Amino acid sequence: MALSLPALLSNASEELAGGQTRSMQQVLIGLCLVWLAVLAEGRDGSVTSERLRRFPLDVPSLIAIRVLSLWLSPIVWMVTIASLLSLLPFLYARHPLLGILAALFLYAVTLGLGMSASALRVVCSTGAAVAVAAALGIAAVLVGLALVQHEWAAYLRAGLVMINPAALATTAAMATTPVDVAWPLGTLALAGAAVWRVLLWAFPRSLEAGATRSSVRRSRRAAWLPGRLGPLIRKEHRAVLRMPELWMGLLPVVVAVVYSFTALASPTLPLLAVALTCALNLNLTSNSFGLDRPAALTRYLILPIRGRDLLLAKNVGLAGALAMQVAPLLAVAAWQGGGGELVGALVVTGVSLLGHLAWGNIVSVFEPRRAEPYRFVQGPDPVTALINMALGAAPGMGVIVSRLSASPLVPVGIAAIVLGTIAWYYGSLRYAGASFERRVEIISRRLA
Amino acid sequence: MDQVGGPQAVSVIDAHGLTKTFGAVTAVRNLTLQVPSGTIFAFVGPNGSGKSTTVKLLTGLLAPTAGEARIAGRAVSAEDLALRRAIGILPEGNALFPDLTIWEHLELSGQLYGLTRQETQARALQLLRHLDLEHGRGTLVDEASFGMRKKCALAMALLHNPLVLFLDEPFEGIDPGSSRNIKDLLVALAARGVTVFLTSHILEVVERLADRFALILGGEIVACQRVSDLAQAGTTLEELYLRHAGRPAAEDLSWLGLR
Repeated sequence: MALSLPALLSNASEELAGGQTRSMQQVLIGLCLVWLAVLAEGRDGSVTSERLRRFPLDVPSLIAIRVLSLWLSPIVWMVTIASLLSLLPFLYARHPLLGILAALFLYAVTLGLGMSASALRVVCSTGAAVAVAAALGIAAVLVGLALVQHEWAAYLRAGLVMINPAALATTAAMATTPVDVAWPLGTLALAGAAVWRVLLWAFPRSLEAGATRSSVRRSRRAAWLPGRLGPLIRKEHRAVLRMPELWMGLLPVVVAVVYSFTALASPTLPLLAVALTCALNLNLTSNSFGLDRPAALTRYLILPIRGRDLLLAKNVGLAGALAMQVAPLLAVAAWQGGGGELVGALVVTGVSLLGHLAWGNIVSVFEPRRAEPYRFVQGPDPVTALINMALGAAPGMGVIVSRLSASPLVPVGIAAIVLGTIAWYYGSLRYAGASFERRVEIISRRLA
Repeated sequence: MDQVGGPQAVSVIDAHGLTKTFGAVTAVRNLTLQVPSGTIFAFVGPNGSGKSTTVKLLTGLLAPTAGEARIAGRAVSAEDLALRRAIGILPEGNALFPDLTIWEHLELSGQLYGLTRQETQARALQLLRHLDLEHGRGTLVDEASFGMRKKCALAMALLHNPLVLFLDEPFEGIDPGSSRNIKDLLVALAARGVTVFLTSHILEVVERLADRFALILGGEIVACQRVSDLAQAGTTLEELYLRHAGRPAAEDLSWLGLR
């Protein structure tokens, strides 16, 4: 099935004309997820809470500025146009106007949800954040279970489909009785009221919390690490743990682990999940200096440390966090296939990490992007991101593909990939490290 | 005019024709300077005159557009680690990591300078006590006061026992008690042969503490002499400063209730 928007809309139009709503729901859900991703990643380019609180205006005015400023970003304009185009198939529905209104309301609720999440991220305590993470984990488990090929999983899938909000919009568009119109619209209205109420509560608090958030944090006594670079590694590790990308990377791990235990999964699944998880952390591996500011870069120049040692410390700090992330997959590999599979998983993990870090070091020095704790990093354009992902993932995927071969030269091939990746990583440290020392002023300006 | 040291003095800091431009703006212009060993040398000037830029050029934090600088005979270069180990820098803005505590800064600094963990902890504790900062050792820099951050950065500059100290506004935001300790410490270090190059707006402190000074205006040195020569000339550093730099014209601020 073609994945282009026109093709999807064409399918949706045909289905709606025939009384089916599956494609239209997919379109609506897809665009809602795009809206949430845009708002979560900070790509919206809108005026931030830190800037808003300086204006001597009341809260409703500030919210209005925040909402209107979303359309400062060309990406938001593109998503808006796609969202409006997605309403066209409703012209073929039984009640076009109802469908369009319900879909518009769905998008508005999604917008409110995204903005509320941004505000809550600033306001909420650690306990609330853990609760949200736990809820996401449960959701991931449910999705994993729903993928199982079993009779009871079909009921779970049907249930998940019923509660999806896009179904509310399409139900209203295809309603045959007044009740079929009332309950989905009523549900959407209630959801919208709840979301906007949360926004009205969280937004003004986020303006204040942003200024005083640091007072909530307490210094924790961290474990001592040996070696000259030990304290630096510890600092980097701690910084990485505050990036939401790292925690979102746990979701595919959870899904893969659940699926591995409940189905006749292939031994390759944990390895593919390792490679995927490493790739999903691209915004961390390719942006080592994102959390640094000019003051930190000045301190790196003062301290007697080479650029390559600095990058090594950052890489080790990040690798420690990524290793914890994929550890469950290694356990699954060992459980499924014993020591041999565990070794294979370790090799894939090692070369995947080294591959992403090797390419990531170069990107970090030449294309640094400012990052903020607890906010998703604004990544590069999609084409560049795909190239970065492909280059970083190549060694890991090479090992996985090699293992599928029956050739007697497989061990030699894998050894060559491992040695080549190590050499590539070592070369990247030296090259990127030296480049960092020459480009500190440029990097400092990009991160200011 | 700009050679401060006498013919017998060994110049630890040696700058010739240092120039730094940022686009169309020349922050430092053809600066030539020599500072002998065991000297407390003060660099004074108005805001934006090029003091901090000069410190960055002398320490390798900025590459010069023209000219060169040498520290203890070694050309200043950002890539010379041996030079970094020999100098201690209190930079403009302190250059601290917001999410580390004051103690963690010193731990990180000490181990990177090659001190053992025990040495680092012992020296750090002593420095924090000397600067009246021991009570704040567990404070995140992000939450620390201006003075605490300044003391933390100063402690990091001293921790590895450097040969040359570059201190950008070391007394800014420091309480009088700690300020006195710092002055006594700098005098003792200079007597031991450490060279101290500091910038400051507090002219009274400079006059009491420094052996020699230079006044910079618009990126160029306009005066450079011994502090003791001021008294012999019957003038003060403030008078000399105002004679060269002037003062802004007073405005009619009657809306503040002033008459």
